[in-house]
Amino acid sequence: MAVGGVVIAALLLVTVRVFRSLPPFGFPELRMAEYYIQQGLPMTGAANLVAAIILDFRGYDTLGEATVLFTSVAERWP
Amino acid sequence: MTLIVKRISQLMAPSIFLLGIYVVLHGHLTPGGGFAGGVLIAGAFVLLILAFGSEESRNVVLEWRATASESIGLFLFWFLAVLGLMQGGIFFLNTIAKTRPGLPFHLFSAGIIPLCNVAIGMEVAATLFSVFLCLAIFKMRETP
Amino acid sequence: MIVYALAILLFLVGLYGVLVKRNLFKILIGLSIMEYAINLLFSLIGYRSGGVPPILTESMKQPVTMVDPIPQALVLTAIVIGLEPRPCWPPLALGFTRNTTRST
Repeated sequence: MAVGGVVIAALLLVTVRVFRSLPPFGFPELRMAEYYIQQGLPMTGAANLVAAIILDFRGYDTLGEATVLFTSVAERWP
Repeated sequence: MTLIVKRISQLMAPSIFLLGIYVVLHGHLTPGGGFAGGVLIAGAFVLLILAFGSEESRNVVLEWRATASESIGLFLFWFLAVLGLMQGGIFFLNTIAKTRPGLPFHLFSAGIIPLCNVAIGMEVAATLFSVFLCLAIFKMRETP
Repeated sequence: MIVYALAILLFLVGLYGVLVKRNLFKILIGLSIMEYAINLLFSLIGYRSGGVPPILTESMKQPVTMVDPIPQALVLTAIVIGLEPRPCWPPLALGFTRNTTRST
């Protein structure tokens, strides 16, 4: 248990040191999001931008996810 | 469960079901969409089974409806994707928004997105409900 | 920066549960906590200070600054995929404890 605590403290220090290289919290670099926010309503007509992203701009991910959800339950019945 | 719990859950379950359908159908205008609405719809049925116990609901529940609606939901989603291929030449094209665009911020707008939300809501609700049925009522185990 | 550190702390709490605890159900709960922490961290990266949720309403006249919607879309898929084998774990854990001679 002491070994676990030491490992976790070391991991905390290393991870916080690595996360300093990200942009500061609240000011991200938005290169793709600008295009999606500007062109979301004219291209799809949906007011909810997140729904327009997951169902129109990136529909393949949602398609694969629905198939995986179905496949994981399809083996239940004898 | 006591009589009060059974009666209150009988009164609350249609309201929860209606709220789930509202969240699914307005997925392109308000936050929510297919996944959150599907979980709410499954919650309405799970509430009823929890209130009445597994012995009484073993005779009443029809499990073939859950599996049928789950398969129909996924098939509808794939059909909408292939519809874009047939009419536009691109897989998963938003054909209804190109030919019949509605006014923004109205219920009838954004082409293929509300239909996809309905299909996903149906599938997620049936999946969660069937998993709950399988574990709680029929008591199936993973390893025989 | 303090927000990222808190999310990493949540991940390390889950990691502590996986490494140190001996009960099988507590190990599974630690695994779930690790996954929730990663989803939280990923959706926090897209926050813009002074931003509103990325939902367009009718009463928006001037262009407003919106929060980044892409990490939210990716985390939505990740949450549903993470939830998916989770109801299978308790029966598997019970079968494992029943068929072996370990006590926990």
